[in-house]
Amino acid sequence: MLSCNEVSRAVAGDLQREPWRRRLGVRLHLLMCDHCRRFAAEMNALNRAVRIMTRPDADAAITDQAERVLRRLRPQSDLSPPPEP
Amino acid sequence: MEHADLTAGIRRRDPTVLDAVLREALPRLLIAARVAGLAADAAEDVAHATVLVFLERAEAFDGRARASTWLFGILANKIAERRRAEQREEATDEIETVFDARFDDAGRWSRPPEGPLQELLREDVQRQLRDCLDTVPERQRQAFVLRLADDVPMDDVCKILGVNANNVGVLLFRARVRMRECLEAKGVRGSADAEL
Repeated sequence: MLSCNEVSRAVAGDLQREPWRRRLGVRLHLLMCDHCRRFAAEMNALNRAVRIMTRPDADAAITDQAERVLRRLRPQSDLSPPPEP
Repeated sequence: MEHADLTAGIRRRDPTVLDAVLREALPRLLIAARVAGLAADAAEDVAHATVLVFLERAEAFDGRARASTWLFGILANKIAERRRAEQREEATDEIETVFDARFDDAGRWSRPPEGPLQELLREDVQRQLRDCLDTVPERQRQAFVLRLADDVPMDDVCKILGVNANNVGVLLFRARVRMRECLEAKGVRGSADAEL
């Protein structure tokens, strides 16, 4: 039986990489344990919030940079295929 | 656009297709490069170099992986090339002690979470979120943002950071627990809605 500490560690780390037995243990524990379920919900909310914060359109400078890279590429993007070997 | 048309368009370097693909991928590549610790102009150079490799090999594109996945793979290699000596995550970190202090000797919660973080999606909390993200050591932050916020495949995160997958797991754990403690200390709270 996994403890809350172990379950929360797995949830905050990389759950997908845990062996399936352990993943199953984590899921069963979460069904029974309010505190750990709450912790898991917090981790999900945290992921979502950081994802929103780092979205490309949240940053005008990134859009400008993307345009600049595209301009630098113009000459290459219509390159004819290299000669046959 | 149909997947087959897209693949064919990339292979024959159709300018319209390439333009659409790159317009979509470039902002994400740039952000990933910034998150990986490159300065703005270095990130731009790496993104440029990545696209050059992509264009050079365009006719070998077989459409099995998505074009953006392919681009991220090239980006990961480019960043790894720039990265000097490989650093391993330290064996100890004080956040481990902070985390363990919330549990009793049997590993049960002694100070359970009270459900902060739903409010994270509110705009005025964004600044606190950003402040807390700034308190996370660089490599932990990189792992967190690349893997969980940007959905960069695990293999590419490993290449970008120059560590193995187990290490990325440790980095993720430390980054998220640290963010959580920081937000809780700032009094950010909300409701809980578990979904795993």
